[in-house]
This record gives sequence, C-alpha cells and structure tokens, in this order.
Amino acid sequence: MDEAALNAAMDRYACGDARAFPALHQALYPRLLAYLTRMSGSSTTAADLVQETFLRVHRARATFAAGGAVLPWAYAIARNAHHDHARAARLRETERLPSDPGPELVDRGGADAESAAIAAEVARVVETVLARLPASQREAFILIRYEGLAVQDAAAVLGTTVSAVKLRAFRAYEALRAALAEYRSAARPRARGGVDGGP
Amino acid sequence: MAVPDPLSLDGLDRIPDPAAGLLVDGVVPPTPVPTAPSPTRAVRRRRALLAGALGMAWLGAAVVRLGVRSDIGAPSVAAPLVAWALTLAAGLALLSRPGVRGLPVGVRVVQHALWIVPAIYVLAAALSAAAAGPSGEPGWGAVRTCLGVASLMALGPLAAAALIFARAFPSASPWRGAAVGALAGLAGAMGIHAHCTYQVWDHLLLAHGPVIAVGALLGALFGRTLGRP
Repeated sequence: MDEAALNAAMDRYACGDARAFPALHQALYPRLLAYLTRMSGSSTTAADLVQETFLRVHRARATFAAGGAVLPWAYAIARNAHHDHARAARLRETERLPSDPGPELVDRGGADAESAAIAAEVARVVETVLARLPASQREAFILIRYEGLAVQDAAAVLGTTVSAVKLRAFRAYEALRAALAEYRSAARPRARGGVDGGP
Repeated sequence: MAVPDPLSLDGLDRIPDPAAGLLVDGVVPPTPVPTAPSPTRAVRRRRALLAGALGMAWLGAAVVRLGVRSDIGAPSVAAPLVAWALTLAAGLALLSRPGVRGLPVGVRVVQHALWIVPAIYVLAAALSAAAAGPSGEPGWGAVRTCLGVASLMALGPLAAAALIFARAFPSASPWRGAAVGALAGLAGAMGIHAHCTYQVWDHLLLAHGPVIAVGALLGALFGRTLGRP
C-alpha cells in the first residue's frame, strides 16, 4: 500500500469507517514492529508495544488531521508507547530472566560462516556504539537510517526541529563511522597475521 | 560551485542493522477488532465546540457575577482586551491547525508562542497603565485577591482546552500543552482585567499576569499526561 492510500485509509478511519482498520493494520504492523524492535532490542516486547500502539491509534484517531501523513503520526505514538514502557520498566527495575536470551544481534542468514562471523562482529560494534549514544542521537539515527523517514518527518516524530534532528543523526553517524573504521583497522592486521602465520 | 553539506548523511545506508536478525519476515498477525470506545473526527469536533463554548461561558459568567468594570469602554481598558483576544484567537488557530503534512505545527513555533503570549500581555498592560494614569495604590491584599480570582477564571478555559486537546499532541506534548495553558491563562488575565479597576503597572504585572505562567505550568503537566496519544 503506497503512502497516499495509507493516509486515505487513516482519514477514513478517523471519520469512523471501521473497514479501513485492517488495511492500516496490515500496512503499519511490520514497520512499527521493526521500529519498536530496534528501540526495545526485543521482538517479544516490540510485539506487545505494537498492540499498545494500535490501541492508542484507535483512541486518538479523531485527532488525526484530514489529509495528514499517517506514518510519522503512528511512529510518534509508537515512540510514546515505548517511552512509557521503558519508564515503567525502570520503575519496576526488571531484570532479565535467565531463560530470556536477550537481544539477538546477528543476522544468521549468511551462507558463509566466516562472513557471517564478520557480519556478527560488525553488528555487535554498531549495537554497542548505538547503545552508548545519547538517546536523542540514537532515536534520530534509527528513524532516518533504518526506518527510512525523511528528516522532516523524523523531526515531527521526535518533537524537535529539522536542524536538531539532522545534527543528532550526523553525530550518531560520525560515532558509528569512527567505531567501524577503528574496528576494521584493528581487524586487518589480525587477518593478515592469520594469513602470514598459516602454512 | 556547490558548498558541501557539513552534516551530510551520504553513505548512511552502509551502516549495518544490528537488529536485522530480530525482524520477523512479513508475518502480520490477524487484525484485532478495536472494542475500546473512541470518538470519530465529527464527534471530537462537536465536543470541542461544546467545550470551547462552556469554557468561554465560565469566564463570562465569572466576570458578570463579579461585576464588569464601569470604564470597560475606555480605550485604555478596551484596547488591551482586544489585543489579548486577538492573540488568543491567533494562538489557538496556530496550535489547532495542522502544519506540514497534516502534522502538528513545528515545535519551534510553539516555543516562540510561549514567550510571545506573555510579551504581548506585558506590552499591552504597560501601554494601558501608561494611558490610564494614576488609579489608586492597591496593596498586597488586592494582589492576592486578583491572583486567586484570575486563576479561578482561567480554570474554565483550561478545562476546556484539556478536553479539546486530549491525545492531540503526539510529540513535544509538554511544550504544546504549555502553550495552550498559557493561552488559557491569558483568558483568565482578560477576565480579571474586565473586572478589576486597578490600572497600575505593577498590579497588572504581579496580580493579573502570573496566571499566564500558572496556566503554562498546568498546561505542560496536562500535555505530558493527557495530551499524549
């Protein structure tokens, strides 16, 4: 479903047409799940938060402006749901259960074991740097890089200015670039050493 | 020659996604059927009109009950009221009309509204006091009374705003709530100005004006709690 059709469906839903909801759900679910997975680091938590987001979308549907863009609006609501969840979790001081494996960081789709290991290592570097970044920079980066939002839409989601979002995303990008460059320069001698020292 | 963008994000797509392994491929669960009550756009519009009318009726009834000042038609009294009413209308229009792509107006505009509203109040009050000349020396008792009455007057518009803007601020909700609260406070300041005959600069500033700040604080709290979808 393209964006115009999605906006039109939300428009109909805001006017009370319940038949528009399944189309909205089908189109928004994967995007919101991906976003909330990236934000929470857990696909289980993200699935719960997506349900919460849809409930909030339903309750707030009347506030959706006619002719508006549903994607940044829904992302902003999803972000609120995530923040509320994170705040409640901090208050409860929850700890991960031993049976919970926690975030899985590796795309295991790679055929070659060595390239999969390298991809896992790189992904771990990115994950570590992202976790160390200020939340504002991380959020801006995730919305622009992984969710594919325009800077203007990301600014609307984050409730800040376009220039602030661009600066935050750029700083995150710089930190990631530096960390990846450092990782590669450290990995190269290791790899060369492995080759040289081989039979 | 084009100047390179110092904040260029070129090559951003080369940063790998550490959560790629977590993403479920194309599996969308069955669509739930929402059963929780939720107003449609038309219902919300009707409720907003009703709430707005009740808020203004509260303010008007309070002014009438306490008594409208006898010199309400004098230019030094009426002119600031008109200026504040125009500010109130413009502010409400700005905050309730959707901005680019139907999203709420930019947060920078809202932040500017938060200093422009009190600035217009202070400016109009200063001009009004200067034009009126000496009008008695109210004591601290009058300051306390006017502050309390103005706060009570602002309660109606503030409650109306809470109903109108409930769940309407998906982002920057405290800022947007504060701007709406400041406007409700301005309505309270207008109410007390229509009643109180003291037209001294420091009284207007200390007894009538602070309700704008009180409104902004309460509005920020509202925005953070009820204003967020």
